[in-house]
Amino acid sequence: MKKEEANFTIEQFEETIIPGKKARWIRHCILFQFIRMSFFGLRSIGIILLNIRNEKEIPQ
Amino acid sequence: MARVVIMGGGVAGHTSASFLNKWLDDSHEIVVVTPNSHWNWIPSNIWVGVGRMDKEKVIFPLAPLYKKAGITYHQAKAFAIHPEGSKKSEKPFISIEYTGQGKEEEREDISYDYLINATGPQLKFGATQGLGEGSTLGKNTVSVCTAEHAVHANKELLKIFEIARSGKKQKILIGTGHGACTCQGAAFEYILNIEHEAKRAGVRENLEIKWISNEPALGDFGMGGMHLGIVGYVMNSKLLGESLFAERGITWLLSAHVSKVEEKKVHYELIDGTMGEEEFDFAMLIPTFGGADFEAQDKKGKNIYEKLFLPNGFMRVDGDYTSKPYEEWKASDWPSTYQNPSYKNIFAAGIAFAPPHPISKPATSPNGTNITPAPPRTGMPAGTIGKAVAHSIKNMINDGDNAKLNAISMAKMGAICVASAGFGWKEGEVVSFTVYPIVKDFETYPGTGRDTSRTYGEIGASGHWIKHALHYIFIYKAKLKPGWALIPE
Repeated sequence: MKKEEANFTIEQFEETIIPGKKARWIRHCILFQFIRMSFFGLRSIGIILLNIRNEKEIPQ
Repeated sequence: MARVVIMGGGVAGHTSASFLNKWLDDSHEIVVVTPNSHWNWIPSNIWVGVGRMDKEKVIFPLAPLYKKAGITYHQAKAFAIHPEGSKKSEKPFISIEYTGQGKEEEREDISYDYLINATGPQLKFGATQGLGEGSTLGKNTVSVCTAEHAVHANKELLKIFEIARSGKKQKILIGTGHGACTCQGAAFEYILNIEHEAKRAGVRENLEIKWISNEPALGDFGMGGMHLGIVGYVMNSKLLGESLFAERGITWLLSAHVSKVEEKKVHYELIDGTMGEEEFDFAMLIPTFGGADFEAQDKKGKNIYEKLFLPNGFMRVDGDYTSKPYEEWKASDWPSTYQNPSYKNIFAAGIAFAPPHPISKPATSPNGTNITPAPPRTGMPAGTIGKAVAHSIKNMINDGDNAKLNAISMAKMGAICVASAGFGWKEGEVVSFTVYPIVKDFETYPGTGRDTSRTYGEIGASGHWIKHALHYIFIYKAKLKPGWALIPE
């Protein structure tokens, strides 16, 4: 990796993707965020249950 | 009657001690040895480091809690392990040196039937010239690794904000201070919070904020990055990281090994071997981590360090430590019981256990410098492993030779990560991830190494509410308040 490549610039990035105002608004819409929190909570419970399921008792 | 000694009182050690105390009857003794007088909810140090939370809200004293719970507590640093006892003692024991309780510098031996090493990381500031001496932070940079460090970081940050307010441009540099660092997530949270606070303070336009890291790509986090399944398509954490930085005007420098830190200047080497310098007015660089310093001796006093530890100081457990190329790494190399192969009554939990290899692809510069993020083992994995190890020891005490061990490898373990990107119930944001499994398993999940239906990420205020709630929930749990055991790790 060349130093210039390591120093990725904002200008280079802006040519590709930057979330618009709509995306930023969604991030702070209270109702929408409550819904997202619920979904993330369910995903998190899924991970916790998976960890419990994957913990096995094995002989020494 | 059995005595279980736990070295370390952080997430892993405190979890092990709490569950053993709950599961075993009063005839058994649980002993915690930690040099710290307080328990620290480290994820919230980020908020202390930007002045949005008081230090007192992220710590609480251990002595009264352990006294109430019936756990023996020594505020001391363990420095030697004698797993076969000595000429004077038949029982295995550890040697400790007090750091508090009015017995500073006094030494004592504590015998054990079972030993858990949960000493966490040794902050090796001294591994980078100018970053500090040994495990002591130097004067050139700040840190958020401890609550005290975070308080100091905030004081220094406020000075920079004050200068910027007067109209003078200032440069902030955040990231990793060595090519073999882990814990990029903490630095990632800190840089986003600084940017957020700079906007609030009205000084953002006078600040240049830059990221410097040993990661090969943004969003690597020492986990080789993540592929996130999001409503029907898969995106990677590199794009997410770049997007977050770009929209905040944060620039980045990657695959960098910080070799030297001077007053207001870092020297670094990139993966292609080129050298560079970066000036700064304020820098927070995470040090590389090592295991705690220990001596290890057999019954005759012979050095048996290699039986217990790897050269980096992390404890040898049931992983496959055979040196092999990246292409031959397997998920099954990772330990699952965290039991030392030589001494079956010794376990390691959290950061203290030696990972068999990194998760990120290793990289070396033409000058031979290793620039590879080390694998993370903090937070959820530390708590999960601490509980599993406690379960195994409970079984060994109750069932003797027929006891079964609880096994949970990080290659079969999921994690939830919430990385703060700003504080405040309305304007705060968090980057939230679920990742499964933590260690990539290319045999089970060809392509990305992870289950993309369970690996997910998003950003929003809801994540901040979750992180804020977790702050109170986990401190409630750590204080062993009613129902604590029902709260998952």
